[in-house]
Amino acid sequence: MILIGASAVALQATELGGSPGWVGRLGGGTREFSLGNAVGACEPGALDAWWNPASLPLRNGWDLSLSAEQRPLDRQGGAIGAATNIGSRIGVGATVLYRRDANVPLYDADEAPMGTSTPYFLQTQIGLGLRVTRQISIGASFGVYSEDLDLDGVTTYRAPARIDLAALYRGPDTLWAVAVLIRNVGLTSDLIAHEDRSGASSDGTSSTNAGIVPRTLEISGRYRYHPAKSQSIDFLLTPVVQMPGEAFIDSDDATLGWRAGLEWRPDANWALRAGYEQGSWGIGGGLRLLPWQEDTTASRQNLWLDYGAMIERETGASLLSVGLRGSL
Amino acid sequence: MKILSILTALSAACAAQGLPGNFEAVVVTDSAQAFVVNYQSQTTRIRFGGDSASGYATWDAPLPVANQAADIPVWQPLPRPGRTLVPLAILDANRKGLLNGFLRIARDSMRQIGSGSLQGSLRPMPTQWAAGGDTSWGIGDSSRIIWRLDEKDSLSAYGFSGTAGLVRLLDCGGCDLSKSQPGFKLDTFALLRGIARDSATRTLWLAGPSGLWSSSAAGRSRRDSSASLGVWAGNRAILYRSGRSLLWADSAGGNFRAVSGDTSSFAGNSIASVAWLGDTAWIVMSRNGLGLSGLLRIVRGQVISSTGKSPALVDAEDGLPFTNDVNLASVSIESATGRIWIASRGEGLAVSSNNGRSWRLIRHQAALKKNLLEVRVSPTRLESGSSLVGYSLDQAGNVDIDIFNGAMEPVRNLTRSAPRPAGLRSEDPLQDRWNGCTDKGKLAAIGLYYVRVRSGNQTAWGKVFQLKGGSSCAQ
Repeated sequence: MILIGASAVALQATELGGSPGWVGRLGGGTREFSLGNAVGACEPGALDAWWNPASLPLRNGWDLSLSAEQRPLDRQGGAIGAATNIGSRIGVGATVLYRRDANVPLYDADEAPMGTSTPYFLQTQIGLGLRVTRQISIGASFGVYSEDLDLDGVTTYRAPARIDLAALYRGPDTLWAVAVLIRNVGLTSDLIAHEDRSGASSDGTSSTNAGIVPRTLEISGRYRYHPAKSQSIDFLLTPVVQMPGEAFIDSDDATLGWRAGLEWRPDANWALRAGYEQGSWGIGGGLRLLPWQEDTTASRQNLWLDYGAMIERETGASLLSVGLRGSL
Repeated sequence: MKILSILTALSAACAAQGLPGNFEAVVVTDSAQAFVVNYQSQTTRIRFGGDSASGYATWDAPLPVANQAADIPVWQPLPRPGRTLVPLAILDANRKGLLNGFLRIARDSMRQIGSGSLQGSLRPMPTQWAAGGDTSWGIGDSSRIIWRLDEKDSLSAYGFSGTAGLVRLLDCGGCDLSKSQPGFKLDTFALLRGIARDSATRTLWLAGPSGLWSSSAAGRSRRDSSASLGVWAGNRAILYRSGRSLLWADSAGGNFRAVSGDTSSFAGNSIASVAWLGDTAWIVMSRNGLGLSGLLRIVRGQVISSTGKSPALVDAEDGLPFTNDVNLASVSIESATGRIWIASRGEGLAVSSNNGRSWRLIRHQAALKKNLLEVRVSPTRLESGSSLVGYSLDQAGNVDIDIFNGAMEPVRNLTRSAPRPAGLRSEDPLQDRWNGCTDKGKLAAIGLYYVRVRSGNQTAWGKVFQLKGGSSCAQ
């Protein structure tokens, strides 16, 4: 039964793969990458405008993040993000996810070389969060996607504006948290994020390709365990439901995926991480470059160097990610 | 980064050493192809192209005639129904001897040829052929026959057999082929226009100014008394050119009848090359004097045109990837696969795997890395139709081809454990091609996609841009 179910999910996933929005589904951030992207209910971070805008108000100061990664097949990417609070109840943030292919050789129908292309893809997200109660916060982010396929005659700018809605509940002792995130709600009357793409063939014929950005439901959970006074282990789990069809809930089109992560902090200055997402396994770590000191706990100032590696399921190859995170 | 892009482009350009467009002939066997691209008439070098197991390539090779006169007035590649060798018959400059070289074009040895050495081994020439004098030479129909006529009106014809090399088909000293047939004097054959052999009935056909003659175990007879311009034999039929008429007969011994249908293309044209596929004859017509030509298809004695136009030539309107004023050189067909190869002078090769319903142009295809180390999707810009996933296997195996997006989310499974032969990319218009659609029959979003090809333990990746518009896959 499990195999049958897995096969069904795999078939439906092909619909997802042909849909717009893959840059967002890939995510961004080195720490997040090595935690299997199961970070919706994690402690606040600089990329919260993307991962969970409901976490935006849960900070005191600025969080900044910069990361880059190299994947097989000349795929490169990265993320940059910033978040801060405005007063005690409001938080704002912005995240840019960046992807490119550094080398796409082009051939015509007779395999005559036509040069190379270096397409890039950008997902920009601006978020706003509101702390409703001590345990509950909500948030929303506004996203715009654009890309340049670096092909003559192809118009590649698209503006499928879409909105992500989020809510976060933290337990009274902050040992656990649950977040719900609905991605890609369109600004149209049917609440579907339509994406129109236009191009022109080499013979001058124009074409338009319309698609639906799959809506996504992510339910993230986090549980923190303290094996010792200075140690902590975060267990992360995020089931993800993708809905590439027009209906909000359509069991024929929906696909279910899983993300899971584990972060072990032996002390305040370094961390080890492991993650899983859709058949890909990752490991990573973080080193605090500004060591935490007992007498400076009043300051949030810190700087982390994160690194991660993953065995990607489909390519079977490893990929690396390096990032810097800091707080002011 | 800009410098890196430039270096990458230069590297790609240097690696792309595909075929030029100019072909004098194409010869195919069941296992390989050899394209005679051109030759330098004042030297003893000839340029060949062929299937090098990983792609199409050309090479210059010295012919094994280094000590002969420096001219090759007559040459013709001779397809041979073997698996490894293609005979190449070359007449020397004085037309007093015939060099019978064999091109070894088996896939395994193509690399040796590609390195510049012609793997030709000269078969012994019939001793009597070495005699001097005023001698005429010729190549028979679909080229399995070489004939010689000397000043004593001795006509001899040789064909190629699988193991014995040249086999004498006819030796006609003072040649009165049939004393009972007045008018058949060999001197009238000084302008012998064609010799063909019907392998089914083992009948030898001779065409010349005095008519059409046949010679078989049952005897020799004159089948037509009008001047003949050529005769070509397939396994199931005989084609015979008489004046402006083209006649057809079943090889089982039927009478010749005029080819029916639209025959307007016959006028002013001569037949440059004929290849047979069952009861279909594919004919390259060359237009006398103008150097222009066309492709004709005759099925069971009737000219067939898929579009109904007149003249009923197969051209760009039928999907042939050449301009309509192209100068075609020759046609050849792989008997095992039925693939039809058309060689053109200046516009490359056209290949069809479905009896001419669709064609693929081969002109620039550079060699693919062997052993599934490279996948090339062409055209990379998928704007209409489909793109071919090109790869090269060292040995036959089962192949999986899958399409993914940039996040490695599956989009389409093209093949699952599909058996594929060793060597080149598929010529089947329905095989190893992506039309831009997902497994669920919807057009994938415009963008960049990754193509994974797996066979055994080997995996390679290619890339393709899906740029087709609309949402329907029915285009």
